[in-house]
Amino acid sequence: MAEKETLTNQEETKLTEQIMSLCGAKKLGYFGRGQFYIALKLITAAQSGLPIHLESINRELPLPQFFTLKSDRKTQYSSHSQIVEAPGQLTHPVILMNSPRSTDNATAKTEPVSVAALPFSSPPSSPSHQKNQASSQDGRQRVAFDQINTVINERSPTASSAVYPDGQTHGSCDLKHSALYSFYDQNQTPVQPPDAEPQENHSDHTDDPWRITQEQRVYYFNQFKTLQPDLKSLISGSVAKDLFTKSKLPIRELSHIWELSDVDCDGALTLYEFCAAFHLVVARKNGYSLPATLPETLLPEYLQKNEVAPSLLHEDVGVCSHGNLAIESQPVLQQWANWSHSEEDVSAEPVAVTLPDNPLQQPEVHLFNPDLNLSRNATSKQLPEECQTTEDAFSVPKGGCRELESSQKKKTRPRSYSSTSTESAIKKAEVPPTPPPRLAKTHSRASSLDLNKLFQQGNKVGTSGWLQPPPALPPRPPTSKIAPFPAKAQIHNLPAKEQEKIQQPNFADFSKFSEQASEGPFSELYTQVNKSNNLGEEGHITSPASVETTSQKASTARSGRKPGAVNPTEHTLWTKCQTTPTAAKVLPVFPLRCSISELSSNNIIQAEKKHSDSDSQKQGSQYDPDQVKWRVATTIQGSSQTTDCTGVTVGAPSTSPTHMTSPSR
Amino acid sequence: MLASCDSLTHDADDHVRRRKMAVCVAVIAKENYPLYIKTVPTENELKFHYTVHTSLDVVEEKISAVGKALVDQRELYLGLLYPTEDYKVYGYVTNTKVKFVIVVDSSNIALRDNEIRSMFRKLHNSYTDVMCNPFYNPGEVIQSKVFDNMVSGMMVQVC
Repeated sequence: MAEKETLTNQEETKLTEQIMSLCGAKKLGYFGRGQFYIALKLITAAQSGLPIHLESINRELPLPQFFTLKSDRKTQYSSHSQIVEAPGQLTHPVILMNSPRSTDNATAKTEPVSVAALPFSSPPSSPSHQKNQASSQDGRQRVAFDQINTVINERSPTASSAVYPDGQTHGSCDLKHSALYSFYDQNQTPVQPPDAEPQENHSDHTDDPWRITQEQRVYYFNQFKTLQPDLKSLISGSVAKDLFTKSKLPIRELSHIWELSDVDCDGALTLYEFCAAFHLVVARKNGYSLPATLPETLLPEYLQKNEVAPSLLHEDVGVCSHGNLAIESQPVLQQWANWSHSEEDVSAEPVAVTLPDNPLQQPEVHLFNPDLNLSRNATSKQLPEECQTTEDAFSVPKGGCRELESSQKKKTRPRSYSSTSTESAIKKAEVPPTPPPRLAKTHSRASSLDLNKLFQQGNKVGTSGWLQPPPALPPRPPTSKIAPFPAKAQIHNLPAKEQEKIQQPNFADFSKFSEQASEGPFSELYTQVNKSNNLGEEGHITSPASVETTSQKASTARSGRKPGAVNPTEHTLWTKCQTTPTAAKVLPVFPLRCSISELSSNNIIQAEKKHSDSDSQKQGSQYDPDQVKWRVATTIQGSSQTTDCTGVTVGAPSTSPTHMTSPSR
Repeated sequence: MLASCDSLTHDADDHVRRRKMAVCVAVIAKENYPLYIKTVPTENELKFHYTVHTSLDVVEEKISAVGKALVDQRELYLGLLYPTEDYKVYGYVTNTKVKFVIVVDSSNIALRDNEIRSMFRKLHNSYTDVMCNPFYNPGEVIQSKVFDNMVSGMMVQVC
């Protein structure tokens, strides 16, 4: 669709193809944001007579001129949007730009609103792209704005074709642009609001990205309301965290933003702190680097002082809510009447909520939110659509979705990155999520640990029929001796320590042997282990143990393994083995014993395999003496592992000595 | 960021400032791993790391000494943990068993106990602020710039 807009001739078609292949769209098969930008730049280059090469786009380029037929555009887009006559023809370019990114919005085509919202979707895209073009884009923006202004002022549809809102530029001074919504619509590029007449006034403040425009303020307020209906109260840290993490900024930056904005350091955000934080997030998303200290215009006191009461929200055109109280007092309605002729609907709109619908920002709104235009011109039915289609946390349509057209559109316009539904967003507002659970502190004393863990494990493995807490376990070899498990063990997301602990018992050994002995309480345990073993991963060997002890391990790992502390996993598993009274067949004691200290996991697996394969029949009787010895051994605290192994393996099948010897170096 | 080298125009001022400065500041988690450690860059930093590490034993000792009693009865400020030839090490433990360790130069004889206490208080306050940040997960290394600035402010300014 993009190329259609650009050229019509055959020769130009060739150029187009060239551009397309250059920008990579051909290769990709679609126009991603980056490709689209590159393509547009190449178009500009071509129009400027420059050779169509990637290098040529690095220079400063004017905006490309799109001279498509008005009618085409109109017909094409009028079906989508009803903005036809509105100065908000910016939607066309928006749609143009958005076309390759229809994925950004759910019902992009069907709903003008959403299309418009497609942020400007202008793909924030390649930051490198943008950054390189920062200077040129400033110029571009101005051009765009001028064009847009002319569009608005003249209300000529042709302007739309000429206008190409430079969605790429984010380096330009003003944050007030679509930045907000674009941010939520994955559009990170602000577009200067086209302001012809008010531009002079506006320019006074355009250079300050840290000023919150009234429109932004309203938006922030609404966002606050979605999280915390009471404007006077606070938003808790965890709720705010969830919200801001949706912005996909790195946690480090979000943390910094929080530090800046939480002035009273109470772990919660007041309305103004929230506005400041949100504004910083938006600024960051648009490429501004975060300041070291909170700008004065973002201080809560400042914001509070400059806040305009909702009823007085209509600001002077010239001042986009820059705390200029004198100007703010002027009702926007008047301004609108002066300003946008075609916007009669808008101007007449008695926005009950705090939407200034500042004409100044109107074009801006148009740019990134044709919704507003739609709202003005559209029927109310669009609102419900809009409200319903936006599935983002930021677009929670309150009950008043139908009441306030533009304001609601605004509220629904920003889209979060995540696909959270409105329900979840509402839920969040209602029930602030509890803070992430801190890791449970483990008991610092090993002895109590054992019992606690034993019981816990007993509960977990409940079905396996553990009877009672096992008696004291034999000492385990120091962890250092144990070959560290490969990373596979991390499948269970256990820290290395835990894996280490879990590896020691290598209960897979048991399972190997017990495959046949599916009887007894071990059966379940072993089947689990067997399954894990079948995966062939060492880490899985102890999966049942790990599963059982994961929770415990989490705490113990955190608290650090106390040297000499009995490994609860081992403990419990040991005891389990012990308590399998008559299921003696299952107890391949020796592998366990030896594995603890000397055996590498590989060896163990091999040993087990050999053992299980060959000696399934022998297991019954031959294990009895072993079992006896094993039991005796287990009761002996401090007995060396090797002795246990050797003692146990006496009666073991022939293959067992090999097991024993090989590991026991 | 507090005084920069440029601002230390006067030697006397510099001297005064240095006197009130630490050479190394460390924040140790309950599990005895460092959450934050900052040393004067020109020195052999590893030496300070060792110093802090060894001081942990002393901290543990001091904590456990009062362990039987209620926690409230134990003061957070532990005072001088142990002096070495060149340095003095002070300790401070929070109620969550997070330890702050400050190493100061032994030549800073003018550094009074009160000043050390105030340094710890500042540390504790900043640490609390860091904890209040929902984006900070307890147990993570402290990367807060604000905290960093505060610590830099109390360290010896090296030009």
